[in-house]
Amino acid sequence: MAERPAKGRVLNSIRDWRQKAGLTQQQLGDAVGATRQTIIAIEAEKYAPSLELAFRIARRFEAPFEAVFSFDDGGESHSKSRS
Amino acid sequence: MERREMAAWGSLLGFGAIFAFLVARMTDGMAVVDASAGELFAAYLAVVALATLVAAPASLIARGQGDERDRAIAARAHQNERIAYLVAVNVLLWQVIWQGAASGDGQRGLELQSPPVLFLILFAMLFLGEFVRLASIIVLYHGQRARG
Repeated sequence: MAERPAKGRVLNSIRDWRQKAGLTQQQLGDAVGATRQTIIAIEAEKYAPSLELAFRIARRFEAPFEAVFSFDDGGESHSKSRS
Repeated sequence: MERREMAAWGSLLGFGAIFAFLVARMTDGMAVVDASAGELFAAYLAVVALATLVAAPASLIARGQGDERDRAIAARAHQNERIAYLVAVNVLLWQVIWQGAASGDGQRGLELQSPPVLFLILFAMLFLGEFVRLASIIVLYHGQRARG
């Protein structure tokens, strides 16, 4: 039976990118079709955005997706590569 | 606090008050009072009218601007509401089975054959589902709020 993957966590550096771009949370929210509260929750990593919203945010910063978002799989990939 | 969270608090308090009104109208101490079909119908109309008044502002707010996070929270809250209904219906089914098995040795538990009792139980189940949905919304918004 396939092993159930450990619960991962989507991390992001939106706050840095946003501040570099000189945008407020409201302006970023308006640009990507989200509310300011959602941007706040994403920046605080309390809410993992959908793929669509994540791509919109990365595109708004004209940055590669993986420069803005990363995935912490709880050390699963590390343990797999060792086995 | 977000608008939808505030609306959920308002609805929770409003529905709590309506349920308290219903319980006060239908019970005397710990016993359910006997009520005619007309009285039950009047109570039904009163609850539906009050619930509509309480639910209207929240549904107007929910129809307004929202994004994927609001929709995700609403979906999760509906899922929890559904679980609450399933649990409540199962508890009621077990009560029916238990009453069937224990018939003859003096009726204890809920008098499900009595229309006022059944009326109150079914309304209580509806309110339970709504309370769970609204509480879920409040907890989910609170949990996603950034601290500091």
